[in-house]
Amino acid sequence: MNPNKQNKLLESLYAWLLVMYPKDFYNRFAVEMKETFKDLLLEKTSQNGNILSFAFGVYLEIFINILKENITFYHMNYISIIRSGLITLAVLSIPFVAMQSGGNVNWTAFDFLAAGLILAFVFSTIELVSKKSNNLYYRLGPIVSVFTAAFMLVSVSAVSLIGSVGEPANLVYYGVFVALIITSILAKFKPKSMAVAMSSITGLLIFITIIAIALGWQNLLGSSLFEVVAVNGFFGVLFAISAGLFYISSSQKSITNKISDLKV
Amino acid sequence: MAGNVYKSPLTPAVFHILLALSTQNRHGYGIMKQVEMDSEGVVTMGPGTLYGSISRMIEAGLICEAEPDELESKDGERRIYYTITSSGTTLLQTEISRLRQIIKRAKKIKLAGVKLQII
Repeated sequence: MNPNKQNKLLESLYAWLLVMYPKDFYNRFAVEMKETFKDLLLEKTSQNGNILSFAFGVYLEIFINILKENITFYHMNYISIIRSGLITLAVLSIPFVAMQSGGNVNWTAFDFLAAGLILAFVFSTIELVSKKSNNLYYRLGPIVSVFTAAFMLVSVSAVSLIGSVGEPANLVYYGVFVALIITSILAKFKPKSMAVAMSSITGLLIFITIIAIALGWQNLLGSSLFEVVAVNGFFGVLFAISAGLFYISSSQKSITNKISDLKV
Repeated sequence: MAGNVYKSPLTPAVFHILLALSTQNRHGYGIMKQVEMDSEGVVTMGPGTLYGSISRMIEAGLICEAEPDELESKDGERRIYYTITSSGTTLLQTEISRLRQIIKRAKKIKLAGVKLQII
């Protein structure tokens, strides 16, 4: 690729990443940060350095700092972090106690770690979102979507959603999880765009149901037509609810903006 | 983000940004290059770390935006130059004194009977 074209593309990707900074930070520093990145690319080009690995290193560094700035911006203080950690531990204590009491539960250290990470992510998101807005719908939208995604991930990993444990057909739900992350990033977590993103996930689950039935997944060992429809329907409805909550919060926001405009 | 208070010992990022601005006003890229030079390439900062630090240091009153002068804006690009404030200078001096004290003490230390070679 032409070096100029390549640099333009890398600059566009960088500019796109910067949008994820908190609004105040973005408005204050984005222009300068783009200029600085442009200078760094020019410097690397003149040194005949590996532009791509350099750019991706910067993207990673920026991504980490975006997380940091967002956490600071939304005042996610230590108390919130400790609270999320304690709730996670409380939930994890349930399978732990069940194991000690000689039940059928038999979790490995990896299971505890994976479940702990997922739960910590869910509770941290809830903490973060609850401080972002006073709008109930705007708070509930991400909470429902994050909870649904985590529940789907845990279910598919622990017990499988289609057929028996280890059935390769379940891999499609990891794809849904990846699609959820990508569409949310593309939506930049804005309510209206998130409503579209969550609707597209519901659409994707409907599409998976149709393909699954066409491929005969209902005939797999331990599966049934009811299971295929119910599993996809359950998660599809939850994502649709999340889309609805995002949509209501975006409409309320635009009404509030219109009222403020009228007052002005 | 109010309430950022910096005191000695400083993080490498804050120390090097203050040091870079102690000699002249610089823009973001200029600070990065100066930090690299001052630390002989040991400390390198990405744009995320740099502007995150700048944001907090402005908040704490250690640095501020410089008035653009003819020389700085001659390239016609939108560049914001930063300058060190009196609080920033005081904090930098305190940190340098602290480091000097450490070096002074370290020079007296003998490891396995051999005096440390500190230049």
